[in-house]
Amino acid sequence: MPATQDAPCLPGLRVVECGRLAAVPFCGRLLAGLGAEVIKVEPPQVGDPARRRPPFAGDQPGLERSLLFMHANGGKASVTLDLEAVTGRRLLNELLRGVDVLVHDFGTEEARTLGLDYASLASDHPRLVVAAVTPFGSDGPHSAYKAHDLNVYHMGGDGYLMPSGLAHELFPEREPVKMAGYTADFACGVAAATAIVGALMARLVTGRGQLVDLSKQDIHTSMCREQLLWYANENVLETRETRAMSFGGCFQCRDGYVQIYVFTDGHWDGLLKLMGDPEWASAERFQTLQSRAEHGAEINVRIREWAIHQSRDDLYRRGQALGATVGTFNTPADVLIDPHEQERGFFVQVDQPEIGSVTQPSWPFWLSETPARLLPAPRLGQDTERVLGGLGVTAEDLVAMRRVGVI
Amino acid sequence: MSTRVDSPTPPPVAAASDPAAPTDPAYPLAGVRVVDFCWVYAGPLVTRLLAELGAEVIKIESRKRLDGTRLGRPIVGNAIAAGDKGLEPELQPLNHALNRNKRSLTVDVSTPRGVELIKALVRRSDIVTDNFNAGVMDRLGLGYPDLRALKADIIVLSMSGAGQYGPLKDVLVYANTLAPLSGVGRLVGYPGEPPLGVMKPTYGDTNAAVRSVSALLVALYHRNRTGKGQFIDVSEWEASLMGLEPALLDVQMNGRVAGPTGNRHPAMAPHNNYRCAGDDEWISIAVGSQDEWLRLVQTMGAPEWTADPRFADSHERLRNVEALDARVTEWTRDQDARDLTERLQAAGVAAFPVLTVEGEYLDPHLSERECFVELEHPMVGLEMLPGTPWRFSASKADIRRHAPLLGQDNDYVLGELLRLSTEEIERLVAEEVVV
Repeated sequence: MPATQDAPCLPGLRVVECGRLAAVPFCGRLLAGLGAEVIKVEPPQVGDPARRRPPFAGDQPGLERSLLFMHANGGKASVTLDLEAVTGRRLLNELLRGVDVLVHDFGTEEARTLGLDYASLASDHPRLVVAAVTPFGSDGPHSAYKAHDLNVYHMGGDGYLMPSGLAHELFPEREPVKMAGYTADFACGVAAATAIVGALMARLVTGRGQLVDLSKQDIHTSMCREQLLWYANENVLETRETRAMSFGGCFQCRDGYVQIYVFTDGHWDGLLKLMGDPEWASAERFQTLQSRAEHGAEINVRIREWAIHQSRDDLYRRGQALGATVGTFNTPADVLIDPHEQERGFFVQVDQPEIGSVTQPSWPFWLSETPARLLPAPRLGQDTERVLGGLGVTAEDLVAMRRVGVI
Repeated sequence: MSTRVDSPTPPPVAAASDPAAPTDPAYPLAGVRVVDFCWVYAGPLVTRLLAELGAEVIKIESRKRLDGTRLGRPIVGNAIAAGDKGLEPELQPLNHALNRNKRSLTVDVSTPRGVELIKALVRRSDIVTDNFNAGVMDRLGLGYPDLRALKADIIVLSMSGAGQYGPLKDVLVYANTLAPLSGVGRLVGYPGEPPLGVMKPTYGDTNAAVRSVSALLVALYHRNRTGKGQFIDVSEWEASLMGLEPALLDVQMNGRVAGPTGNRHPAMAPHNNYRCAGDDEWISIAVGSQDEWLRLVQTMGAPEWTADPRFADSHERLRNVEALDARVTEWTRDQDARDLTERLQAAGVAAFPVLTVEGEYLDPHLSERECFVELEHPMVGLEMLPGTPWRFSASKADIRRHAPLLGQDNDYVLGELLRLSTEEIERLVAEEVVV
């Protein structure tokens, strides 16, 4: 069971995040959830562009109403600083004096312009761990290229292979598609947080910070996708048409969809039982894994004809009991009331100012002694005066800076 | 066919310059020892990443129950039956990619003596990992309470389909069924069409793996500072579910149940893959602002249709997104995806070819950043494997040793770490405890 005590994993760790949209903010959210003090530096007036991205609470746009922003920024402080102004850059440099980690998503050129290139940072802050998260990394011919989440997903190699299997039969001429939402960027945020903790572990020994150069493309490419290995080492080239699973996939039921996935003889036997031991399956060509693979399209037709008359929850429940790998296609609404996740306490209520109480997924890992926490996202600039005041900026100066838009 | 299952165990690698256990403090995890029960895909990816950061990972396996990635050749979809039925457990590139840098100890943990060996090893280790079904480690007598009794500050990570407790802890799932169950699968597909069914085994697995590594590292960091270990329960289901936001928030706050979204974005257009010249070549183009739209228009040579009020701003473009995509495709379809990428990027528009498997190897940028590395495997020769995801300026994260042959490190682990005599080790082999 999850521990209930509030004993964060990274107490006393101070992080400055200059992040936009999904990847770096999600990294900051993870570190904040683990107990670090994360100070998000945002441009005055407008803030992180995620604040202006839908969906909005009640479909009412507003800097404090973006649900994407809320998801990616829980538990942080927000300080507004105009980094294009000399004063803004000076204040950031002062802020970094007492900080352990700077994570940002500035490209190499942009970082240099802002005085945030690693050489400059290291001379002032030798203990600082700097993580730069960019689409293509800090060097190489594409390092200056731009990429949004869509491009990130499809330049990592996964996108080209979607859809495949049954789905490719149904949509043969269509464009490759991505996973929904910001999955590609969120994954990079997690990978960045991991590398940051690695660099902090190194600092426990060496006493020195360093630069971690995180390329989103590297991160996605370095995961061991079988297709890459087959191509280079077995001379097997996979495309959407030849994609591994020759049958199975998503099937329409009378009240929704199920995923059916046959990997072993056991799964096949379970599926046939679920289908009521149909006569067609006794034919010679369906008796071995390999032969079934060769007749996958025919099997898909059979499953499709049968599934359309079934109920998705019944197939899921009975399929599980019979050892068939059947999964039901839950909607986001189904997931929120899932009894398993309710018992695990996976969803937690967060009281978000200006929005109200919101149920949010917490963390995909339970740390028994140092549970992660989930807190509301900050209002734009809500901590500016407190944080800059802590640097010795006077109330008078704060007013003056606000007047000229530096904060 | 000759079989190497019974071939003699190769001699252990010399400890002094041992690439499987680097002593160089430049590795963030130098000196960290992991007893690794992970198998197949998601779990071994977790410990692969730990090993790249310098941890000594001892993979616990056995000839009686081989890791699935050692079986078949090649495991290309359902052609598994055409493979070798597991007679050649050293030939799989996927196994080699997931297990490079690791050691292999072959122990039958269904025997009491096998469990004793593991316990002795845990006393000398920092982390224990598994991705068995919920409860398996407990039944082996190797659950967290057992292990903590052996070593108070041990860190244990168990990763399973739906976590270690809860009504569905025993649910039969693979990465492919996790996506639908977690709700993510419902959103993947062409707008207005049924979901595709994510026939993409890697999302559920890689996503859970990277999150697990982050949890392990913070637990280690915590232990190094406080001396306290802990237990980490990872649910692949929950890890997949994390990708569902903000759709989960949208349904609560606005009552909108999202369906398949394809490549579309709620605020950006154009935002899709567009067909290029050649066979199945595509370019992804994402326009994030009016400024980027104007740059795209300019790159297209400002054709007349771009002046149509239906495409004037992002609101109008989203309302007419199908017509917009058709127009953009007219422009892209006869062009080379790479040339077009260069032109669009030079103009400040986010665009990139949809990389095919082949395209990844041909990509000059990935080559220059050494995203693929060649590694010599004693039974296969040179193999091309994906590199490590991180570049540290001062620390090291790298590939130092090929994936272990079955039992390659038995003598090292049993002799050097556990101080068993040659006779004792021979007896363990004869009694099929080390097997």
